Parts: sequence; structure tokens; C-alpha cells
Amino acid sequence: MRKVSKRQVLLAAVLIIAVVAIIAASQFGSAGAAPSGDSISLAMNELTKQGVPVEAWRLDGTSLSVSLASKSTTEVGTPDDPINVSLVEREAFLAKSRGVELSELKLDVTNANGKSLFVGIIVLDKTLDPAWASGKALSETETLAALQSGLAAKTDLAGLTVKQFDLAAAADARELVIAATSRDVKTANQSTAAFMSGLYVLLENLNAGKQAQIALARVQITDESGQPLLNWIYDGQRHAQNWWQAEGMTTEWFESPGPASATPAVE
Amino acid sequence: MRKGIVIVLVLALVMVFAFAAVASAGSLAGNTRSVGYGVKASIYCPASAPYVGGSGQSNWVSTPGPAYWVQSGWRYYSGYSYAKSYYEYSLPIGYNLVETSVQSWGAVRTYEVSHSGSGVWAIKINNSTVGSFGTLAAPVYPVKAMSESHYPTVQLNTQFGSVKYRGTSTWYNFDESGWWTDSPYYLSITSTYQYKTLGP
Repeated sequence: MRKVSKRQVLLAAVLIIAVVAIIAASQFGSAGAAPSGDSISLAMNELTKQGVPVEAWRLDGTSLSVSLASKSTTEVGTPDDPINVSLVEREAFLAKSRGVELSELKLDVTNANGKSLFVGIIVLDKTLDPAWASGKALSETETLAALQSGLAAKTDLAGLTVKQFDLAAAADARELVIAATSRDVKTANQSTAAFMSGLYVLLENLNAGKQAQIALARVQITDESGQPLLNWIYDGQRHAQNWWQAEGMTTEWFESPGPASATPAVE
Repeated sequence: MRKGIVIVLVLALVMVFAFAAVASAGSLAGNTRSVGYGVKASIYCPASAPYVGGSGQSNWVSTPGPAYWVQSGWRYYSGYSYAKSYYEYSLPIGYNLVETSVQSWGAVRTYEVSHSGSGVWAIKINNSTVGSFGTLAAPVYPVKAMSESHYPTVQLNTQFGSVKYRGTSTWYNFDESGWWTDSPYYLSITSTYQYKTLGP
């Protein structure tokens, strides 16, 4: 039998390692050699730039897994966590809309101690509605005016002081930011329910009927000491709302099922 | 920048002339089953748009609250042209509410929330999974199939059919009279698993 030299063994080992690395690169987020991987890699880098704490991601066929690292040290999320969840879901949706073959997003969030805070498997069965950017968009000035008059007609802002009301212009995807303060939870609750339900309907109707193209909207309500009371994000292209709210903030603007049974019964 | 300042000023004026709040604590009507690993129902839309005034209603199957839950159904609020299917969760991470599609007047859809393992709950609309979320320990006490009104003048007129709960693995018709009616709403009851929410 022919003797194998050390050099040949070394060369074979290098070749095996290279093959394994290429296979891994096509599957894992650290490299992303395949076109889908490249697109997802770009999306994840974009999320990181926005401050979303993407700890790891992985593409298995058409299933995208993303792990987020929350700053929470408790068993509940921080005010930023639902916002980050929404932004990841949005990037997956946009990637699918760009043609990346994705069927589901597996999302998990762990706290600073490594304990699981959230597990979500979102079926990705929709892409961006072609009607979103069809037709003539409402101008930025017209959009601001429509928001202003719509809010004035529909909502009650008693107890809230609006500090910021900005519409950032972007092609086909504007972003609205509203920041308000309130003395405390009780004061904020005077009008938060009416404001939030009115704002959501207004955004949906302006997007559907007026081509306002407000892709994202954010509402941040803080108390006088700067502590967050409500941190809300709306994704107009997915008709989705994610939010965090302080204990005691009103639940009257969304569905809630009422109390649990005090006495568990037999199955 | 100047535009932003103008808007802030206008909104400040709106605060002075604030309208009365349109939302109110939710009133519920429907049935519950004392324990379950899941709940599903056929939930009909009324033949035409119900009166909601400046408020709204939803009709859903759900795990119970008060802090954390997973639910799905249809909702219809002031300013909507149609009822919309949705799913929602409140979990330790926060809240999420997604409207998935229009449910036409007179149409029926099946909504399902069921435990798929390890505290994860799957949501199905017309037997298609839209998402799974957790964690929320199972079973839950009780499971619910109800209408929710956000103002007492909102009209409820929703038929619930084939309301079922899941034992450890098998689905059964709701078999308990865990009725719940907040005034001014009431129920037209055919059986514990088939009923209509009505009022005011």
C-alpha cells in the first residue's frame, strides 16, 4: 500500500475544512454565501445598525431563525423588546417581498441571564401588497395635514402633552414619530385609549385610501421623570401593532379576555 | 422643523378642546369552559355592519387573562369598512396585535388557539396556522369564546357555533354552562357550544 505523506494528510484536512466551511457559510448568519443568505445577512446588519440586539440568526431552507438578546434582567421584557420583535418580523416580511424564499420566522428572545422571554413562530405567507406604492402618493405636507385634522376630529389628548410629531420622508415608506409626556399613569389613562384606537384607524385609512405610505409609526409616552408609559410601533404594511406598556396603563383600546378562573376544575 | 412645531401647537389646542373618550372598559358575553389546552369556534359576522358608534367590538376565542393571553377572532371598529380577522397576544415580552384579512359580512371563519407544547400556543384561522407564541403554561383556566364590546351602545349580534375545547389531545364540544354576560348584553342559547351574543 502506498504511503501517505504528512503533507498529503494536511492538504486533505484543509480541503475537508474548506468544504465544511462553505456548507456552513451557506446556512449560518456569520457568512451568508448563498443569495438568500446574503439578503438575510444584509437585513440582519440593518437591524443591528438600528440597535436591534440580534445575537444570532440561521437560515434552514426557508425557515429563518433569529435570536434576540434582551437587556431585561427579570422575567418580563423591556419597553424596547416588543419594538425589536416587530422590526425583525418586518425585515423577514420585506425579505420575502424582495423574493427571498421564506416560509416562517422563528424568533426567540432571552434576557440578560439567558432565560427565555419569548418564543414565536410566525408564518410568512404574505408579501408586500402591490397597491402599497401604486398611484400618486399623498405629499408629505398633505399627509401631515391629514394626520393633524384626523387626530383633531377623532381623538382626545387630554392629559397628554405632545412633544414631537414628525414624519420622516422615505420612498414608499414614511415613518411617523409621536412623543408625548403625561404626569403619571392615571393622567395618561384619561385619553390614551381613544388616542391609540383613533390613531390606528386613521393610519390604516390614510394608507388604504389616500396613499399616505406611512409604513411605520411610533408612539412613545413617558411620565414627567422620563419613565416610559407606552412604547408602541405600527407596521402599516403588515397591519401589525407591537407595544409595551407600564403597569396600570389602560387596556381599553385593544381586546382583553378578562380574568382567569379562580378555581381550576377537572379536565 | 417649523412644520413640526406648528403641528405640536395645533395638537396642544386640541387638548384644550378635547372630546370625550370613545373607549370604555370591555363588556363580555359568551361561554367559558373551566379548563382546556385549546379552544376553537366558528364565529360568524352579522349579515351587515353592526352599530359601533365611535367605539368597536371583537369576537374571539382566547386563553384567559388577566395578565397574559393568546387569542384570535374578528374585530370591527369605528372607521372600518369591514370586519377583520386578527390575532393578539399579551406575553411577558409585551403585546402584539395583527389584522390578517377581511371577514365579509355574513361569512363564517373558524378560529383556534391551542397548546402545541412547551408553553407555545398555535393560532389557526380557517385551519391555517398563522403563528405560534409563548410561553404560557398549559392547561389554562378557563378557555373562552366570547364577544367583547368597548362601549355599551355597541351592537352585538354574533353567532358562535361548534365551540370546542381541547383536552390533553382530543377536541370536545363546550359542555359547561360557564356563561358570562356583562350588562347590557345577553345570550340566545341553543346549547353550551352554540349561542348568539346580542344587545344592547
